[in-house]
Amino acid sequence: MKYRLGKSKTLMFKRILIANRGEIAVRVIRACRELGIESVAVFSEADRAAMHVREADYAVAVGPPPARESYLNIERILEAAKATGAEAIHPGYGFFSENAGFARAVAAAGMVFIGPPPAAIEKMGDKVEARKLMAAAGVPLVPGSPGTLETEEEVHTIAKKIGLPIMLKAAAGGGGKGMRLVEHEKDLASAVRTVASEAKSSFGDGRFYVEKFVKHPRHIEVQVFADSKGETVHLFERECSIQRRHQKVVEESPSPFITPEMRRAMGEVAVKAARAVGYAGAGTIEFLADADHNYYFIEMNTRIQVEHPVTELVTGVDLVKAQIQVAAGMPLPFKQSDLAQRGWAIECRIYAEDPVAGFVPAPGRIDILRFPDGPGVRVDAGVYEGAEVSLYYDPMIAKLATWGRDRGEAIDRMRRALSEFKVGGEIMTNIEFHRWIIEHPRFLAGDFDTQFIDQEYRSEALTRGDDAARMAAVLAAAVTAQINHNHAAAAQAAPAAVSANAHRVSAWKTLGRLDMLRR
Amino acid sequence: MPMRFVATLDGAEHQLEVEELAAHALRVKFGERQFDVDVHRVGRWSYSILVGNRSFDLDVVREGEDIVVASRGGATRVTLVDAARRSRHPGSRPHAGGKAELKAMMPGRVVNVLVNVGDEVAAHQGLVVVEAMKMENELKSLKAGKVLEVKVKPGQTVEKGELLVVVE
Repeated sequence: MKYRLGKSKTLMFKRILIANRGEIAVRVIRACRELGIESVAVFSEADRAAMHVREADYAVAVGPPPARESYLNIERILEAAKATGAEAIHPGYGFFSENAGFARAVAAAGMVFIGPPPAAIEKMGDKVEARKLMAAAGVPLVPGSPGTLETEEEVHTIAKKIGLPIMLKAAAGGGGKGMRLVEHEKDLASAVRTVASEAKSSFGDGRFYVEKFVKHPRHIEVQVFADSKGETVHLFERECSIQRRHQKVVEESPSPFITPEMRRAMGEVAVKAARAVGYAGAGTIEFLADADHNYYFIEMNTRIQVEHPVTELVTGVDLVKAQIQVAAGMPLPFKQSDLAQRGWAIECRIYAEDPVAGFVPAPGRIDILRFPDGPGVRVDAGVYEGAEVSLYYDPMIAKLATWGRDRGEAIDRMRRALSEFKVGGEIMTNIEFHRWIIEHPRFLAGDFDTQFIDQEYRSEALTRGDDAARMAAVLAAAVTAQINHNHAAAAQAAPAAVSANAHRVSAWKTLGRLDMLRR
Repeated sequence: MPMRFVATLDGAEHQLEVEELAAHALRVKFGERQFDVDVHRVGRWSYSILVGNRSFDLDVVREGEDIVVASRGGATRVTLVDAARRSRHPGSRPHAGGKAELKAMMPGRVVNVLVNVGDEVAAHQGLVVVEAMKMENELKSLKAGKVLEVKVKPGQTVEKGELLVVVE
C-alpha cells in the first residue's frame, strides 16, 4: 500500500474512491477535501450530471442506471479504482457498505475498504448469529427464538412461551425489510408464509426468527467507534422513533426519553457489543426501549448511518474523517473521556414524495431550490437546482439538521429552517410533513414511539395557509403567465389562460421588469 | 380594466381579478375578498409580494399545465383556466364542474383498481394501486364524488401523467 507521509508524520491516503452516490457521496468528498485527499466518484448513466460527479476530483462511469449493473457491480467499481489509482474505497451507506464479499474483494485488489473487518460485517449481518453472540457477551436481547425457525409449529410453540404479539423477522433482513407483526393467533400461519417467501425473494435466504413485540417501542441507537488496535468508544445515543413503514424520518441526539443512568449503561453495552465482534471504524448498535425504560439489542449497522450528522453536531466529532483516518491505520482521534454531548441536534430526511397522496414517490426535475441557512443549520444534499431526481435510486434528496443549546432551540431552528427550504418543480417533497411533525404537541413533549406517524398523521393535517397566502400564490402564477404572454417570443408557449387578457399586452409593465436589476 | 383569471389550487377553484393601480400596486379580488398588494419581481421567476404588511416570498416555475409556486408554506400547484373561454365553452375546460382527474404520478404498473364507474367515493378514498419504485402506492381521490371514468385495468403499465380515474 502506498501512503503519503505528510508533514504531520501521519500516514494518509492520497486518493479515495467513493462507491456511492447522492448526499453521502458528497459528504465523503467533503471529508476527503478537508484531509487533502483526492476523491474519485463513480456514476451510472442516470447520474452523469449528479452532484457527486460535479464535486469530485475524478469521476468514472460504471454502467447502466439499475444499481445492480452499476453501483453494485463489483468488477466495474474495482476497475474504476485501479484505473484512477485509488488506494481506498469508501462505501457510504446502502449498496456495498455491509457486504463482506465486497470488502474482501477490495482487500484482495490491494486496496483498503473504509469500514469494519469483513468478519465483523458477517457476524452482525446474520441477525440470528448476532443474537447468539450478543447474548454471550451479556447484551440484553428481546425475548424470542434462540435460533432460526422453519415451521409454523415451531413458531406456535415460541409464541405460546413468550406470548403475542410477536415479530417475525428474516435472518438476513434489516433496515426494516422482511418483518411482520403478528397480533392474533389466526394471522400467524399467513405471516409465516409471507415472511419466509419475502426473505427468500429479497435476501435469497428463507430463514427467519421470532422476537416478542415490544409495546410502545422507542428506537434508540448508540454510535460506536473503534480503531484497528481495538480501542473502542461510544458517541452517545440518537433517537430515531419517528418512522414510517420502519424507515426513519426524524432523528435527534440526545434522546428526550432516556435517563443519564440509562445513557451510561447503553453506551457501555454498545462498546461491549462492538468488541465482541472485533469491530473497527464507525458502527451503530440499535436498541428498542419500552415504556418501562428496559432496552434490548436489535441489530448492529456496520457502516456510517444516514443520521450521523446529529451525533457530529452534539459531539463536534467528524465521523467520516475519523473513518478514513482509522482505515489508514491511525489511532482513534478521540478518547472516551474527550467526548461529551453539547446541546441538541435534530435531523429531518427530505424525501421526494407526496405526503398528501399517501407518500407516493414524486421524483423529477428540481426547478426551484433554496437551501436554508443561518445559525445552527446544516444541509447535506446530493442535488442542485436544475438536477433531475431519477426513480432508480433512493428518494432521499437531502438531510436538514439543526443544532440548538437545548431541544427547544433545536426545534425552533428546525421550524425556521424548514420554512426557508424551498423545493419546487416536477418534484414534490415531504417538507410540509416535517413541519407538521415538529409542531405536533406530542413531538414537542418528547412523548412518542415508533407508532407516532401511523397513529397521528392524516394528510388533511397539512394546511395550506390562509386566504392571503392562497391569493399570493395564485397571483404569482397569474403574473408569471402574463409575463410569459407579454414576451412575444414566448407567445406560442403562453397558456390559454391569458388569452382573455390579450388586449392588455402592454399591461403590468412594471411587473415585467426585473426589479432587482434596477437598484 | 381589470384582468380576470380562474385558477385551481388544491382542488378548489378561485376567481382572481387583478387591477393595476400604480407601479407595483395592484388591487386583487380573490373570491369574495379584496386585497391591496405590492408586487416586486426580484428574480427571473421570483416575487416579493406584500399583502398589507404581510410579506410573501414566492418562486414560480411552469410545470406542464400547472404553475408550481414555492413559498415559506411549501410548494403548491396552480392551474390557470381561461375565464373568457370558460364562459364560451363551459363543457370543454379541463377542470370543469369540479371534475377531479387522478393521474399517474410516475411510470409504474397498475396492481389493483379499487372502484367501478358509478361508485360514490369519499375524499382521500383509495382509487387505484400502482406499483413503482418497488413500492405499492394507493392513489387517493382528491375529492368526494361519483366515479365517472376508469381508464386502466390491473396489470397494465402506465406512463407518468396518464389519466387513471375521473371523479365528478
